[in-house]
Amino acid sequence: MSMPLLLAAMALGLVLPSAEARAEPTETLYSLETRCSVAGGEPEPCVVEATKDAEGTTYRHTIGERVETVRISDAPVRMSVWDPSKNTWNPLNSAAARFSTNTICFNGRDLCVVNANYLNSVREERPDATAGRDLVQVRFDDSGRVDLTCYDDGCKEVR
Amino acid sequence: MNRTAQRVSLLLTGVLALPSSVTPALALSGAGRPSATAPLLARGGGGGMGSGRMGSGGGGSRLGSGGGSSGFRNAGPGLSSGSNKPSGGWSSKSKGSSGPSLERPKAVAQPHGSSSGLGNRDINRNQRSGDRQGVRSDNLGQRSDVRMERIDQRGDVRTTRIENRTDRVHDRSKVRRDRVDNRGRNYWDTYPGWARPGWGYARPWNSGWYGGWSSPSWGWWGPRAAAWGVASLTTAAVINAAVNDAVNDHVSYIVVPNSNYDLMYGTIAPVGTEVVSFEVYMGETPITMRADCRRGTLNGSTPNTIGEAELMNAACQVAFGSV
Repeated sequence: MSMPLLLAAMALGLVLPSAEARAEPTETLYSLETRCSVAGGEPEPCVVEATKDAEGTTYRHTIGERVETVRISDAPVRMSVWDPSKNTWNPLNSAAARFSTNTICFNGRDLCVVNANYLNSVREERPDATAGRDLVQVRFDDSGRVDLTCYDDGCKEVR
Repeated sequence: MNRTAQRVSLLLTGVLALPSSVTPALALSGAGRPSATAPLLARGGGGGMGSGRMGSGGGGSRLGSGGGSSGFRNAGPGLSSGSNKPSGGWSSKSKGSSGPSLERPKAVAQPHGSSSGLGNRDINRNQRSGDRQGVRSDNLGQRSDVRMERIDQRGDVRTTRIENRTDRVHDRSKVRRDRVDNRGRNYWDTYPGWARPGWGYARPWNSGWYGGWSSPSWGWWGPRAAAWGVASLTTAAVINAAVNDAVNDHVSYIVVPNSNYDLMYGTIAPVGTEVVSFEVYMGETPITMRADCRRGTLNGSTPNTIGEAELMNAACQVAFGSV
C-alpha cells in the first residue's frame, strides 16, 4: 500500500489493528490447590490454574503428572477440552456443578474438581439463573452450543 | 403471620430452651419465616419469571433489572466462564477434606424448608392444639354471658376499629415499602458468591479458627456470663444449620437467639483477618456493625447484653467458624 493510500486509509479508520494489538494478554486469575477425580476415580490432590484471554477462561488441571485443560467461553457459553494428541479443542458433551459440594464436573464424571472460586464467580455472574439452585447441569450439542440446561430436581427429568 | 407475632413465638421458644437446645429457636426462624417473608421479599425484589427464576415465587421485575420481560429474558445456561473475580476474592487453597462430588451432601436440607424447621413447627402445633382443647370448654361457658355485653359494645367499637384499620393499613404499607427498599439492596440475589449452598467451604478467606468465647478466650466472658446467668452461647452447629436453612429457604437473614437482631449473613465481610463487618436489623432498622472476633468486642466495646454477645458470636461463626 502506497504512503498516500495508507494515510488516507488511516484517516478513514480503515486500517485494522495488527494481530498483536488485537490479542489480549493472558491474565492469571488464580492458582488453586484442591482435589480432582478422573473418570469417577478416587479424589486426588490437584492444582487448578485459571487464566483469562480473548478466547475465554482456561482451567489447567494438574493431577500428578496428568494435565487436563478445559476452556470456557461466554456469549454463548461453550466448553471444550484440549486434546494434546491432536492439538485441538474438542467440545464437551456436558458439564455439571453442585454448589453445596463446590464441585464442577466435565463430560459426565470424566473430570471433577472442587473449585469454589469458579462457583463463587458463576453465582455472581449468573445471579438470576443460580439463585436458590444447588445442582446445575448443562448439555452441549455436537457444535458445542448449549442445547439443554436443568436445575435440581428438574435434572431427573432429562436422564 | 406478622413479624411481631413470629418474633414473640421465637422468643418464647428461646426462653423455654436450655442453652443446649437453642436449636429450635434458630432453626425455626430459618424454616418458619419464609412462608411469611419470602413472598414479601419476592414482591420487593423478586424477579419471578421475568428474571428467569421460575418457581422461586413472587413476580414483577427485580430491582435494578429493568422492566418488561418475556419470561426468557435472562434464561441463561446457568454456568459461565467464571472469569470475573467474585466480591470475596479468589482462594488459593480449597477447604474441606472431601473430594469432588455431584451428590447432595446428607447434611444439606432440601430446598424450601428444612426437616428441622418442619419438626419444630409440628411440635409447636401439637402443643397449641392441646392447649386449645382445654380452653375450649371454659370459653363455651363464658361466651353466652359476654355475648350480650359484646353486642352493646360492638357498635361503638366498630367505628373505632375501622379508623384504626385504615391507620394500620397505612402504617403497614409504609413499613413494607421501607423494608423492601432497605432489604432490596441486600436481597440474597445480590449477595456475594460464597453466600450459597456450600458456603462454609466457599468462603474465600481464612476461616475455621474461631471457636466462640473460649477460643480465642475473651477475657470478659466469665464474669459477664455469670451476671447474665448463661453458661454458653449458641453453638457453631446451630448457627451453621440456621444459615443452611436460610440459604435453602431463600431468606436473607438468620434470627440471632436471645436477641432482637436479624443477622443479614450475606453482608458478612472480613476486615483483615480477625474482624468482621456485617449488617443487622433491629426491628425494621438496619445497622452496620463490626466485631473483633479475637478480642470479643462489638463496635470496639465489650457486649453489654447477652443479645449483643449472641450477635457477635453468630457473625464471627459465619465469618470465621468451622463447618
